[in-house]
Amino acid sequence: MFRASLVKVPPVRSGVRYASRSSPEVDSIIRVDHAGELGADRIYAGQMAVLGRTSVGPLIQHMWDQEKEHRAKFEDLINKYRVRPTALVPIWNVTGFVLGAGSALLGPKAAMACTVAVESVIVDHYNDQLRTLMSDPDANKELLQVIQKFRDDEQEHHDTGIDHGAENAPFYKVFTEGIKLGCKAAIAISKVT
Amino acid sequence: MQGSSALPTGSADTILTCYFINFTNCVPSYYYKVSCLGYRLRGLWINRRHSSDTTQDGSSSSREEDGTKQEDKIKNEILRASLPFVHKHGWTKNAISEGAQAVGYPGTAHGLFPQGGADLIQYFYVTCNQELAEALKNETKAAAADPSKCKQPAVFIHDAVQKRLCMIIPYISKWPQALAIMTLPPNVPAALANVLTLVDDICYYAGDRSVDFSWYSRRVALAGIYKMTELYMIQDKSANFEETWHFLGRRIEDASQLHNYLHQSGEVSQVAKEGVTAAFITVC
Repeated sequence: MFRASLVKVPPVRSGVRYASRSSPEVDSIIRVDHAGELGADRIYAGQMAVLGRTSVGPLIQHMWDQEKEHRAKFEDLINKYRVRPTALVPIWNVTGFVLGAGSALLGPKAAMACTVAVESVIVDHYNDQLRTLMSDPDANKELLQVIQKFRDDEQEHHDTGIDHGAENAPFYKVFTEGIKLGCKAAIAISKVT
Repeated sequence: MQGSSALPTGSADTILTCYFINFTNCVPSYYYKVSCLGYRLRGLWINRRHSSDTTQDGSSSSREEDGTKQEDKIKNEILRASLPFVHKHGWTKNAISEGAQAVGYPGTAHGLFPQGGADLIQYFYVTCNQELAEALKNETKAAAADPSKCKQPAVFIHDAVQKRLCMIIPYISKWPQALAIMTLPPNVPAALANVLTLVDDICYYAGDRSVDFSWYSRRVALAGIYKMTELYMIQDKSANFEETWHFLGRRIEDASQLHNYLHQSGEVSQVAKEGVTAAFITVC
């Protein structure tokens, strides 16, 4: 069920705004998810800049490729549903890269701890969205399928991080809690701007 | 005066109110009485309509929904009929009043529109925006089917803005009044939403598929061009507004030049960014 193929369905036509616009909920969901995938893409870019030629390089590259795919999908969805993209693209660009590169400079284990923190917030966030979208599963079919698939990918990244010694990183608890807090703040900001 | 819902009861209050009314040159008192009457009649009318609904169907939620839908339909009907009277009365309650009479409702039906002229302008703006969006959609579809009809984005935007401004021409003598009313603080949010929807439609159908900050800069730039041309247009005395279209052409040319310049400098900064990344990787 989670791996169902991405069937194209017509855009959601609810809400009483101008015709051919999506509802405010869908609008906010796509905007925040695009901002999140953009941030994730930049985090892995930062990690690759530092750890690209170490033993964990290919692993990070694999996760990065998946994030690029997610980002491209949400860029498509922004155009398809005519959603306003987040106004803070330049900020997420820089912050993501700095977070990725910064954590990677502390060593491969800290980089994995960063991945674990970010992905656990994202998985929870996607689950929340899936619950919201389930209120009307027929109208939101496409979004549900996309988010379910991406949620599973992110969960896989989270598990990969744990498998590669994230929990052995120095100050693991403080470090991950700090990043989680930052991610939650970023999600709250992206929902509105 | 409109806002004071409780009528004064004590004599001292009455005298004070009378002073205030005299002080404000008697106009508000007349206005207040008229709007009060309108409000009462409107209440009666709505009550009657609701009671007739009750006898027709049982389910309360669907009845309410139907009621809102019907009310919107009647409101739109009245506003549509009011537009021809704008030449005579401007964007005012009087125009709505005459419009209501023209489609068989009492003139006091203008009480349905507490914002008065602003509601009429809003109706006109939204209908024009929707009409333009529909036209642009059909144009894009036709261009997709027949590549020879495909236009350059700058030409497309020029034509779309021109088409939208042409919709104002029938009301051009009263349009400065509409612009003034929509600049009043309570109407600003609606006015902004209207113009942003308009430029969003134009950008989307012109083929803008950006997902970064340029999404905003393009729309804001186009909104600026649109508003400037609109202001130029209401002062333009040339035949068929030739001067306005020249003005519009020059503004779009300026914007394209700026866009090209920024695009090129963007390439330069991309090179700089790659240089920094390369240095970063070498150091690590």
